[in-house]
Amino acid sequence: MKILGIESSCDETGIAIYDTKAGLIADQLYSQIELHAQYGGVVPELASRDHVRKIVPLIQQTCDEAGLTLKDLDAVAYTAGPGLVGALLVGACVGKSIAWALDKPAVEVHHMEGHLLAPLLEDDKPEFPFLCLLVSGGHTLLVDVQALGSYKILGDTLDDAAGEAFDKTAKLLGLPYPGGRYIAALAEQGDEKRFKFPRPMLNRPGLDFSFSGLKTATRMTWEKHIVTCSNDAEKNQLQADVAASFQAAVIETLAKKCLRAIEQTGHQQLVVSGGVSANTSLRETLAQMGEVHHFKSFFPSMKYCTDNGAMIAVAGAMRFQHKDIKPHNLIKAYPRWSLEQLS
Amino acid sequence: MNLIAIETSTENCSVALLHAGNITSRDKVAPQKHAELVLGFIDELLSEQGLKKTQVEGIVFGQGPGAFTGVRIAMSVVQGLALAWEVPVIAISTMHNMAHQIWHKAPVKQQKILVANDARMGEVYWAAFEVQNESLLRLTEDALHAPEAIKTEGFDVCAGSAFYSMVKLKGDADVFADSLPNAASLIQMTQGNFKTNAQHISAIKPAYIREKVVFN
Ligand SMILES: Nc1ncnc2c1ncn2[C@@H]1O[C@H](COP(=O)(O)OP(=O)(O)OP(=O)(O)O)[C@@H](O)[C@H]1O
Ligand SMILES: [Mg+2]
Repeated sequence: MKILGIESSCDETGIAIYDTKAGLIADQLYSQIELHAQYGGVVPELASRDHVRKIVPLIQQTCDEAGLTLKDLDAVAYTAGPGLVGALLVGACVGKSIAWALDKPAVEVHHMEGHLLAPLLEDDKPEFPFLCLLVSGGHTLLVDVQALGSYKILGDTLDDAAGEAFDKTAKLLGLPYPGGRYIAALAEQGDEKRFKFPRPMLNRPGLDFSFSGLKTATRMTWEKHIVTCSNDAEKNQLQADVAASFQAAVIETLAKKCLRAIEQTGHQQLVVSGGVSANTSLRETLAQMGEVHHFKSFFPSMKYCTDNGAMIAVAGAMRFQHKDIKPHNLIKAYPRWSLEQLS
Repeated sequence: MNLIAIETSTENCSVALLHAGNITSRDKVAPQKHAELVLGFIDELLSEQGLKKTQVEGIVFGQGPGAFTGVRIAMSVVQGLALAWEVPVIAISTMHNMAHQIWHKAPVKQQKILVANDARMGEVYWAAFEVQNESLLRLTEDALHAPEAIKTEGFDVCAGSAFYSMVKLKGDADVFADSLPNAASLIQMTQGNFKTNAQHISAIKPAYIREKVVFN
């Protein structure tokens, strides 16, 4: 079967076609990052408007790339939540209307299930059951995945998400938005041992995360040292050292909680997904940890770490095969929606 | 010709169908429920008329200005339908449509119509129209202003939610403050000229009019 995937939950418009036999056959993405960068964060109304502006040409390009028309598709999948309600509604209205107009089933996809299943787009893919670390702009979750739709959240963040912590630290250091990848790039030139930032929640049992203490410690260190920098070279070194020390603290925290969860659950596979999983240092740390502790780590390829249509198409295809979904005419978006509500 | 019309830019969720020269419609004042209702309404109209979805030949919709989410619901539903059915589309200003409804209700030969809807934040969406020689002409473009900036003298009819309290009338126009745009009127406006004026969906944009949406 061939399924169209539509992603519009935040600031990326992603459209893709997944074929259960041939795999991903078309994939188009438009990122609004530049639009929002000047405001230091996503402006919801501007995001919604940009989805409306881009969604038609992207669908046309995707169909052209696949050499198909919409009539050739067997179903349409779209992100129904969680996310920004206005942005979600664009994809929901377009996706549900295409499906309804052609009497095809429409599959409502949970955005985080899309991230969670993104590694299945790869050749070397995980098999159920597995442990999943979802680290993105809005989420930091450790999920016990027994099967498709069977998700138990073992750990969550008590405050900021990991990606959010990266973005806020980037802002502090005067880097562009969203700053995760700039921190990662700067960290390469920094000394991660110069500052010993707190490893939040590591000394406590359980699998929850907290990044606000780390955020504060980073800010205090930055403010204390920046005033002592007498030239640009010193300032640049400080920036790189803070970035490296911050990143090391986040990664060590994420990795140790993963290990703890692996030991608790007995899983032998760890899936890491979401925007922060694009972080090379996180990937290397977890891969090495797996060699020592006998689990295998799976990541999406770089372009499927952040939001994209391909992960929604593949999640939609799996959901479609998992549940009997009939065509229907009710358009709904779910801005708040827990993974645990899925079945 | 079989046409579908959608207007969701105010609290009225409105859908109409033209088939065999007849217009049927569904209107429901249902704030926040437009997305849930709109396809179901079209379903009902099509099955009442015994029409298959694939027999629809074109779509007309209200492009705003109005509530941003409502404007986008009509727009993105139309994007999906037009792409799927491969049919052309006409977008019509919600203000223009409201003026047309006034004229259609009382088809006089000569009349000036002022349309103004509450745009929140102390502003109104408005436009002026004139009926002359059996046709409805636009006097001003759709605009967004503080109510004090709008000259209300010289109009015969005023319509729209801004006349509840925001826009103070000078003169003695008839006022229809509770007048809401509907989809049946969109079909009346395009019947006969649809094929000439319709465009591919990729050429169509919503009309928000309010462009400043970031405040800091
Ligand atoms: N190399 C990297 N290192 C660290 N963080 C990164 C890297 N690349 C991207 N990020 C972060 O990933 C986040 C974006 O990821 P994603 O697009 O999955 O999040 P989102 O869709 O906004 O949130 P959610 O999926 O929770 O709704 C941003 O916070 C960004 O800074
Ligand atoms: Mg995401």
